[in-house]
Amino acid sequence: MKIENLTIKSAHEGLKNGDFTSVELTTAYLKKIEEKDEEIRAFVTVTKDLALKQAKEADEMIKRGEMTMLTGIPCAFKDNYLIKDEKCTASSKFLENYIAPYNATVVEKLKKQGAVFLGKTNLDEFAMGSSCEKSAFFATKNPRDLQRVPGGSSGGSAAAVAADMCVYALGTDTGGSIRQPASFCGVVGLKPTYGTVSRNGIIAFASSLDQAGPITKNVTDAQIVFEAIKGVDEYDSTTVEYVEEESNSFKIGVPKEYFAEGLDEKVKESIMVAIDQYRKMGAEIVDVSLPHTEYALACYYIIAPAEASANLARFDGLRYGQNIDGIIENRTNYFGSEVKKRIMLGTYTLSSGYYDAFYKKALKARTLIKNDFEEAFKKVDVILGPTSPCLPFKLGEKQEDPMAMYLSDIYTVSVNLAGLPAISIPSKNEGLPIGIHLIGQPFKEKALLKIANNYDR
Amino acid sequence: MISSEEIKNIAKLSYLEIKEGEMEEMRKSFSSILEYVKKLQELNTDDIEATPSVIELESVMREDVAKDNDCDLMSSFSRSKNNYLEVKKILYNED
Repeated sequence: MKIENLTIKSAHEGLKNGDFTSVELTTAYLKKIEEKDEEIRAFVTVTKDLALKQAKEADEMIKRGEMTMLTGIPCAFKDNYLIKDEKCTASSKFLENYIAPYNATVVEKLKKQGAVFLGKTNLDEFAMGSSCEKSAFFATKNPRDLQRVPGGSSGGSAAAVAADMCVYALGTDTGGSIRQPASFCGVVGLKPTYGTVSRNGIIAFASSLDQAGPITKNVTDAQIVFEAIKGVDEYDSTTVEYVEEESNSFKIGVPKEYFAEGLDEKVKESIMVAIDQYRKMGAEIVDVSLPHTEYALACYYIIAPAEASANLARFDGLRYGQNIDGIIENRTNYFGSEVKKRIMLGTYTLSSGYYDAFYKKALKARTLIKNDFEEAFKKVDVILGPTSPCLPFKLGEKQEDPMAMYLSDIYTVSVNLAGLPAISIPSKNEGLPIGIHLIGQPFKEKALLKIANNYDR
Repeated sequence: MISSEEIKNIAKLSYLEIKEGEMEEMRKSFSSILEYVKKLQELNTDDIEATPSVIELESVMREDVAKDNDCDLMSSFSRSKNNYLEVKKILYNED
């Protein structure tokens, strides 16, 4: 059977009309992974037995008339989501043999709907990176150009969706890790509002920034997955109850700071074309200003490592495999250099003598960044800009200077600092993929997705 | 540039060890990041509140009652004894 360009909606129709069964669909995807993943290397683990078992159950559910939009549809998870009795490595040597003892809340929610889990996808170790090259196991390639990186850290998930090795995938986004790889691979990536999706059972990186979300073929699919995974969870005290009101307002803010120095000309051109297309669709385009934009990356590179240094303290070799003799030896031998660097940066900025100058200063800068958005959202419904300042870069190209790599997240990190929802959708340019970044107001995903969908159609 | 001594000290606080061969690279990239984040010092934040989280966090209380679940956390312990995690001795008698 042909699975190229299947979306959740089209796969659902096929299952509903009896054109194919979930077992047939799942088998086709497993075959595709077998053929294609040797080249792309998106998957750390393929959970074939689990997938086929779930597909059989899904076919039973469909027969019984218990079908939802996601029943029987094959998906993939970034390898930092726990799936009970399957390996969960976070692409780290530290967790190479770790078997998850329970399901993440997101996994549990999708399982209840009869989703099919094809496997676990590659990431930069513990989600720390922007290219997937920092995986302790192997680098993933961009299906659109095999010389180039798929982005990161959810690069395996984005590559798997782009290469038709799953219908949709789940990722996590701490500073752009869903949106930047979606942009690089030419697919859709949604980072929901902080507090809408449970982080329970997802390996923590920076807890005040981490959020889970979907990577999909189009905006409609992103909405379907978001609706399925959101909601208050007693196991994550940051999840909140809310109701979103309907809105038909169509005002798009364009911040001048997003078009400053450092933006690739081709990216700029594509975004300008997108703005023009929105104008033609009847959107009101409004100039806005986010004056603290230039401080966002510095703020992020203090807060995220600080929280990471605390979160990764649990990896002592006692509770998650390795051996009990020598905490320092375990951490030294099994963490990669990027992870070590970030733990040490966090330790440094939280240590006495540097706490006020670095960490506390960053928390205050975060307030200024958040206030900028609040001001802008008094005038507009969404803010539009590029997802990444550069095109997908070549493997090995940004390995020398860490700041060169970090700069590829310059537009995405401020969204996490402010806790906002944002989506990357592919622009309609020729050549390498370019992502349009739409930022919404907190807990107003419907309005954001509606505006994104207008362009996507 | 940050000194090797400082890197060694931060590593110690982080329960890590930086090997000789990694030292120069660590000093270089650590310094380049620190140099970049110093940018925040330009900002006047005198009357600005800190934002540790965008959500108002409250402590969530519940009855201290175990719920049914089949989650075997102990299966990943590197060593256990009588349903406890076994670790190396950390308190010693001076004598």
